[in-house]
Amino acid sequence: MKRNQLFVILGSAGALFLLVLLALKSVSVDVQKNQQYSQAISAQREKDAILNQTVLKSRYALLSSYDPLVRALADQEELQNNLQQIPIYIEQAGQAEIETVLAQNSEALVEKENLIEQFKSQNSVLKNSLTYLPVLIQELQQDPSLSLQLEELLDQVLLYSLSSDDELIATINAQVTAIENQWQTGQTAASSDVELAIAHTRIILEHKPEVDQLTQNILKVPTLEGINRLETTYDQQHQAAIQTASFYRLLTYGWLLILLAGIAYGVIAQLRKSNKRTVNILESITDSFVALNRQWQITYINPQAAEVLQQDVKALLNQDFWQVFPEHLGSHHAQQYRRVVTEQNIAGFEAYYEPTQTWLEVRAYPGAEGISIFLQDVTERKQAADAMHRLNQELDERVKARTTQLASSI
Amino acid sequence: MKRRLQKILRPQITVLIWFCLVLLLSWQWANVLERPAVANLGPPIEAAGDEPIEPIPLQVKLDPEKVALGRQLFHEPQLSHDNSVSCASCHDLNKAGTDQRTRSIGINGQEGFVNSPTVFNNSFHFKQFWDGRAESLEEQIDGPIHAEHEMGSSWPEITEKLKQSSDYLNQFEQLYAEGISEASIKDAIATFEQSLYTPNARFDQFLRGDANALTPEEKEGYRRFKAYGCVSCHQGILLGGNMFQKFGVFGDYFQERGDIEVADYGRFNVTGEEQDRFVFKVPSLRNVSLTSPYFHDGSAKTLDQAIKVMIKHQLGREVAQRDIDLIIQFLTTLTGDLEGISQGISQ
Repeated sequence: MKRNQLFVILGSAGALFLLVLLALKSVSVDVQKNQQYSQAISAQREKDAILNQTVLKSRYALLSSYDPLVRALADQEELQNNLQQIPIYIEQAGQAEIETVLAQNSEALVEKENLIEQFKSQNSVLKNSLTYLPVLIQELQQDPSLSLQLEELLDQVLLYSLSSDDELIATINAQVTAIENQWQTGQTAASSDVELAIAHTRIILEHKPEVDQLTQNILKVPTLEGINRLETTYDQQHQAAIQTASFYRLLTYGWLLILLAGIAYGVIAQLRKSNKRTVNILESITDSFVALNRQWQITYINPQAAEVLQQDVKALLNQDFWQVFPEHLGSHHAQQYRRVVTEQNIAGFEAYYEPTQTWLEVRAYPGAEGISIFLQDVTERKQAADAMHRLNQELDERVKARTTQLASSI
Repeated sequence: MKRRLQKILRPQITVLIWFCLVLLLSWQWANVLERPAVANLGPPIEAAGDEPIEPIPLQVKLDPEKVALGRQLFHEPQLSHDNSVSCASCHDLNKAGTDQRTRSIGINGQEGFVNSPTVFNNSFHFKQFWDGRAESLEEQIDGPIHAEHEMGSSWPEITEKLKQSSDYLNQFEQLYAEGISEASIKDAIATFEQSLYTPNARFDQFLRGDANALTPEEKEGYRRFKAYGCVSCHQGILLGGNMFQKFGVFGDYFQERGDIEVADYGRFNVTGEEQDRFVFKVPSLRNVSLTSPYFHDGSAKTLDQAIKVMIKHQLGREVAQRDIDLIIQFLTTLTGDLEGISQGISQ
């Protein structure tokens, strides 16, 4: 018995443990973490656009400070660092896959940063020459011998700085050569200033395509593609994690149903057992017992009662009490029976039952669902009482007779 | 009989039904939460500024206790191998965060390779060191700690030494879960360095709208600073400190100076790229009138010399002395509030 109990306790503990385990597995996908991670990826895409925008603004002189560029890059790097914390609910293989994409993205970001550093340096030099050349040439125009040529040169250089027309390079180079020749043939222009103007022109010619190329290269670095790839990969892994969790949820429900069925079976078995016990008790007592429902139908009758009534148990079950029960025991006492129901009182009486020539003491008890009736054979007691009564009477009569005799003799 | 059956079953059935209901609802609830949230739009895109220079923020929020601990560590000679050199030896807060030497002196009287830059405002720099080899203040600290000619120490040595002091043990225990460690020491020093910002310079007051904060000469100086192209590199909150540039765009500065050393290769020493040879971080001009000598080699003793070298080699032009003087006047307006900070130290 003790061993059985231990077995039951261990069994139910195991079943509950399995249930908890399955339930935990089924809620393993952390919704908040997922949102944070997805948002970080979205933010990275947004920052990437801002970064590109800032590069273009710097290139076309809409921004005069590189601080926004430095900040945009720092933001992007911070996000990249945050994304290294992959949510733990993604399984090992998925983590590795995401890490690969992250490593590629980091590489792309470093490449972009290097290009941006070059861009800032080159762009500054270009901007410096572009702002200074017009000032310088204006100063030089006080010398009439070169003024027309220098003005033309400035026009061409400024035009070149605005367009990407490569044909202008040849024109500018030709102009530079012409100015150099003229100046060397003994003109009076301030020599160092002309030299400086030419140096700045060369810087513009050299740096402008470089800066343009750098700008193009910065925009071409596949950071956005990388972010999109990260999103796709992460999404797939997240979906897989959700599917796994759903599978475990299904298992949890299945297991829960099995447990419920088990519990229900246990409860019903227990009820059956107690029911059986009651029946056994009722069948083992010597008294006759009959149970009626509120419709006066016999819902239970024990074999002793059937024997008294000289009928079969099965024939009596579910029959109307007034019809199948002998009149002497039943309908003759209808009032008493009905009072049991209406007043919820115990009723008792004795009745003689012809077919078996027995005296029966009938006791009826009210119940929630009808009446319980006990029948006890009191024939012997009745006969003994009758005999006693008879003896008493005889004695009485004899005493009376003797008394009369004595009186008459006096 | 039936009644008894009901009596037994009713509470259990009720509990089971509730349990199932709660489970079903929680499943549904989980599904609702799993729906992707709509991405928020984030802050609006910053507008293009009118001026290429931004003022230094008036306040930076920091943990005052960490700042105090960092200040103590900043002045702690035990960070060096022979207990002779602290951070403050080369970054004297009473000398605008420099030692005003061409090259600093490390342990055993050894001379450094480059001029010590000021420690003020260094948290705003996009990278640390002249060659930008450190990405953060914390990373920067590793440099002087390990350099043989500077502090020549190591983290195990330093943590061992600091653990001898009950004062440090107490302070670290209160501020850091891990107590005295490489990371916590770096964090405390970096936090202190973030407190070394110099707000409220007259030029910042001017940027914030006080037109009378600058004299007419200083305003003229600013105009020339912009017109001559200085501002194409010296821009942003620090007037520099946010980009790299080659030293010697025009002419060959190093050829003219002579004695080229490894340190002169600048960023090349970090990247190994030929295009980075002689490239340095553009230094900040904040408090520049107090931080002589100038350049990574400390070769310019005065602002006048420094501006002349810059104009010649970076801008490729010649400028009248009058203009240089105006620019110097402008540069003096970049000196912010250092007094409060250095006074706190000298106590």
